Amino acid sequence: SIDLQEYGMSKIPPPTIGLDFAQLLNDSTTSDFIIKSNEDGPIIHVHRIILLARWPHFGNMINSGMTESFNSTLTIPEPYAIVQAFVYYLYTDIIERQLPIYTVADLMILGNMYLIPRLTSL
Amino acid sequence: MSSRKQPKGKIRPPKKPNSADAQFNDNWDRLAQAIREIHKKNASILSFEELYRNAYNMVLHKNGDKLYNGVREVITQHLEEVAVSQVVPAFPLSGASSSQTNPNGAGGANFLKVLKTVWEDHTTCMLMIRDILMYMDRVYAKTANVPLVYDLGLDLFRDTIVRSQNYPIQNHLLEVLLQQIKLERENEIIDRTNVKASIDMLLELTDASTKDTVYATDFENKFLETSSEYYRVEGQMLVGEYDAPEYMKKVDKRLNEEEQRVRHYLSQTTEPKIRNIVEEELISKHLKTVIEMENSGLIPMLRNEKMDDLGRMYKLFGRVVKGHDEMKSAISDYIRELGKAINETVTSNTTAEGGNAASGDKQTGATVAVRWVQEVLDLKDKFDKVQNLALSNDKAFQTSFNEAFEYFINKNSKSPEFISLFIDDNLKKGLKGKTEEEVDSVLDKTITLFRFIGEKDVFERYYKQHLAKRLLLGRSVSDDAERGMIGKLKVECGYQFTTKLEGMFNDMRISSDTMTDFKEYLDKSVLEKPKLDLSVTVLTSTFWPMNLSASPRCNLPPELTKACGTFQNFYLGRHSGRRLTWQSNMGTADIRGSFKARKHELNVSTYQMVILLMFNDKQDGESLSYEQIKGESDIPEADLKRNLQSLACAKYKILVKEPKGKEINPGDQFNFNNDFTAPLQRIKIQTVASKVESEGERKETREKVEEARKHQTEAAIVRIMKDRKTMEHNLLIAEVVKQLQSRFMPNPALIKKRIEALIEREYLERATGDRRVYNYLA
Repeated sequence: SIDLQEYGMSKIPPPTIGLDFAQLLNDSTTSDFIIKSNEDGPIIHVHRIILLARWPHFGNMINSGMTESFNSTLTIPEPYAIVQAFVYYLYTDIIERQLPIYTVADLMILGNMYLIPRLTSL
Repeated sequence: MSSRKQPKGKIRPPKKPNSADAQFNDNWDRLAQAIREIHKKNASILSFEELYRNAYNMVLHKNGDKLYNGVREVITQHLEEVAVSQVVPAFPLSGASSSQTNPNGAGGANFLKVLKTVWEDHTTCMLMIRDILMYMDRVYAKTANVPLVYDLGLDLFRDTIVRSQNYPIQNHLLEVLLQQIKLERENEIIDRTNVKASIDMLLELTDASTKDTVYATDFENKFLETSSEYYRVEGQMLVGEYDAPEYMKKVDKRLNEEEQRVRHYLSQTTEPKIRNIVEEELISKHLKTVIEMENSGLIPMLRNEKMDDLGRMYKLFGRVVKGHDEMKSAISDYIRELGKAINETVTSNTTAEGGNAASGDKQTGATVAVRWVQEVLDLKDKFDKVQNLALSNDKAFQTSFNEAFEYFINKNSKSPEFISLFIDDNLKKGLKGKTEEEVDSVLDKTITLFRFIGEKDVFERYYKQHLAKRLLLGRSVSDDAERGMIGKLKVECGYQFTTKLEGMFNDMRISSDTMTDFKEYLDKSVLEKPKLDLSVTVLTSTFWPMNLSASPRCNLPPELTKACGTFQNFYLGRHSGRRLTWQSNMGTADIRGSFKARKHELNVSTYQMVILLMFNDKQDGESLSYEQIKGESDIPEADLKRNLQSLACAKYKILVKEPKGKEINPGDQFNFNNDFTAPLQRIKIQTVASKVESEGERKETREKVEEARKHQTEAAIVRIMKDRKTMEHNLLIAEVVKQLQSRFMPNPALIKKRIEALIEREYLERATGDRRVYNYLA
């Protein structure tokens, strides 16, 4: 076999960036924005900077000068499970495996609505 | 989507609303209200997410078209309101067309300011509306093939505000913009930001039919038209009021301003257009007027060497098609005029000199030549400087200058002789006061003049004559300088041109070797040694310009005759089959003269020596008459006169002439000047300096040149025909001219005559079929 090391190549470990970001999700100390769902479920602590990078719709919203940007709060009128899965996707680029199929389906609908083609194609 | 009634685990199709219209109306009312709030700048009370979902649902439920049209209506309505409530009240009071009554343009500026606010508000709102309706843009607008909502907003703004059918907004806007620009052209300070905002707005709006910007369709042409008119008037005014340099500065400033204006608040696409207008109105239309301005136009600039102004003119006029051509021809005419003046002063001088040539003023001839060349060189320097400092060394100008120089230099038929004399003057006296480098640079410049000469063969002839005199009389300043000059000529004209000149040098070298051998020969010889040192220069007759075929008459003293005989024996013994002729008119002699005060060594010409030796047999005070000297020496009359002049009338008076005077006349009496004194032991009696030829000599030179040309022409014809074998008349003439023009411009009649001569001598024949074709006969 070829010694890749000898050719200056080394095995690159798989990326961990998604999991690293997942650590930040719901971290209330560093969070600067809140997402609520339609139920009285728990609020989700998020970071503007990460959502700005991942979600164009969020950028438009922040720049709109409407209530969301003032109150640093976005209410997504969907069940908590779906909102949670959606935010998790935004942070990690991963759709959790153990999700029930209908939740995944709802995620797809969100992807369509928010014009996130990557999410609908995952 | 917000309510899920179907069992989980299934992917739901988009649900059908029960009462679709009611649902839509409800949603739309809320959205329209929200847009109105946005227009009222109350966005902060709205929820972005809610509005977005609202619009999303409408599109999802196939109500995209209703939504789209609704939005259009709301925006149009709003813009109509804006037009009435904001824009119209801001119309400049005095009316758009009369900027006179409103000199500061304050009303206009205010109008632009209002328009700027209206535009900014509109775009801000449109951005928000676009973000809310993003889903509509992506999903509905694409499939329905309608403009994206932001572009829709632009179109609505264009039609409702800028090109409003109800209010003369467009007129006001254009008038105000043009008025603002006019104010700025007249050095008023305007608020460029407002102008720029309006211009940017027009640039952002698109004309539906042309797909071009509204700026281009509505504004630009009007702007260019008014600019044209403005600068047409200004051009006429400036030309009347200012002198050329001042005018050009103004034009420069205008060009700069317009460029700045475009850069600051117009579209870059306008830049070349407005530039063309200014160039056309301020430069093209007034080219001649500015060039010919009395006391300040092109010629006065040249006369006073105003390099900055010239440079400015060059740059400015280069912008328009004819600009440089006009400049070139004006400068060329000026050069010709100056050249003509130089030629005229010289001819008037030479004719004046012709009158007293007999008075023996030998210097004048050469001086005139040197002065002519110097003046031409000064002129050349001047225009080189202009070329260099003001014209960026433009090749086209150089060519036209060269043509002008060529023209007037060749107008002076004596120029080849003058240039050769000038070189002679420098190579002869050069080191007096000039360093070798200086001489070299002067000669380099002279070469540039040489280039202009059409009749290079005439120059060659004179150069040979002058070089011969320098070499034989040992008056050349240095061999290196001479060779350097020949090198330069060789570069210009090639090997052929200089072979004979180099041959002359060779003769000089070989002669000096021969003399060394001759001395050895004498030392070993048993023969009686001559009582004087004889130094002989053997010249190859074909290399040298003089007629060397016969010895001129002159009775040499017996001593000398004998020495000559010895040399002749020596030389012919070594080189059989050669013939020597003695050129006593070109020799020099060192003799010793005993005067009352002291003895002097005199360096004189051979003829002078012959004359002086005659006085050896005479008693003190005994005189010889002109006729006696002439009879006894047998020296040709012209030479005799010149030599007597040098002895009796020049700086050192070895002889005393009766009656006194500068001229030698038949009947004059000559005495040996026993009272002669001079501070130096060794005295050089100046031989006659090189001078401009007399008319007779000139004619002779001409004839020789003509003769040489005949030969060269024939040689060229034969060379060409030998190569081509057969050739048509005109082609042959053209080819001959091409080959010879580096030496002189042969005229076709001459060539024709030579062709006929060659046919007569059976080198060529006319072709049997076509009389205009020649064949070469081997």
